[in-house]
Amino acid sequence: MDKGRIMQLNEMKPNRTIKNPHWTNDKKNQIHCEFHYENGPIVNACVSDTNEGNPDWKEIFNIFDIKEIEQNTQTVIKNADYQRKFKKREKKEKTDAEKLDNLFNRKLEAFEISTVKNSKDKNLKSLIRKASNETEVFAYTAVLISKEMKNEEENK
Amino acid sequence: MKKKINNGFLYVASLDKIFLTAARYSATSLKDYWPEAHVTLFTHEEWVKKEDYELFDNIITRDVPNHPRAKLWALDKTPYKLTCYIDADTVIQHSNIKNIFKQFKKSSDITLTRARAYSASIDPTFSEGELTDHCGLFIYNDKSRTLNFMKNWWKLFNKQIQGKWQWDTRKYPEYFRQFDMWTYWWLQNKTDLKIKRSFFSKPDAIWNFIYNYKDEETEGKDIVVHHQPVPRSEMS
Repeated sequence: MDKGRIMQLNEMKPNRTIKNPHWTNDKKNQIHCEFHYENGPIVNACVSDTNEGNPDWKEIFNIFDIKEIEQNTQTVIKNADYQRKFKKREKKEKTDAEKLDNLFNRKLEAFEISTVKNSKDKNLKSLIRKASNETEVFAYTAVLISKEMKNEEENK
Repeated sequence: MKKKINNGFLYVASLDKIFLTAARYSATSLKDYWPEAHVTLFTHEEWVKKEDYELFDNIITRDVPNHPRAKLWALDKTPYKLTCYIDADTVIQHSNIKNIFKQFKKSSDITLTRARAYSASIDPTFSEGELTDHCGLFIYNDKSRTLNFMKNWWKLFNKQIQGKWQWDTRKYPEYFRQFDMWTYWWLQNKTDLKIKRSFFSKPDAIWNFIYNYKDEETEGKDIVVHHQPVPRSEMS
């Protein structure tokens, strides 16, 4: 074989390692895997067999047995499931934290009102502090202010 | 020398004004249930408002470091014989707060509540143990050994966050680096500086009820101190 042809083949099939092959579908007629090339690049590839016989497909089944491919597939499914659940939990935690932040801010604002801050009505002040949503904060704050105003009127 | 007051609460607000807002909110709730309580605040001079002197009977601003754990700097400077350090992001919810100093076990130097692993933002377990002592509220005495412990807590924590203290990360996770509970654990378990510790009586959670604790932690009793992080959105 002449030198040019060898170079051409090398270019077509450089030294690479196939990693993590797993099924992409239930029909099991396509495999996803990674080609790790010697000089660094990693290429994600989907490989199917062809009528002429796909050399990559053959290579995968020469290196890996079905059991390994099945195991990899289960791992990929598990990881994807974990990622999905993690993202969902993260999103919920963020939403919950924002809700708590807003609630706490409303409570702080309520206690910035001098009538609330200086009120001797421990019970209503406690209800504002313990409020579990913003509506409760507004409601108890309004009740307290109204009560204080009434007291002021009566003391005049 | 000025005679020390028997007992009192210690708040620290530094780094961000939101902690002072939170400390005011918490101290107001404390005074609602216990108007005679002694309360000291460590904060920065430029943040203090005139009315703060009505709420806090002692405000210390001199040399207070602008630091995420200025609390550790303040601990050994307490004006009290018995101090209840309390995080700014707390709210007093019950008149039983008047009995908090009775929770201090005289045979010990520091009395704490136990942290619940499920409530932590990180996994607090490691091969040699677990970070169990909650450092957001505790009572401590003013023995020289205790105050020396507090001083060293501050010193070692600074080395920790500056990366000047390295530990065997195969034994102790690197992600402990930002936590003062880890510094505390180390001083208590790996050094001669350790002090005698004890815990609040069960249900201890009512004295430092973290917002994500399970309701059953209270065993049907009223929560005295509720603990919830300050709004991050408000931090500058």
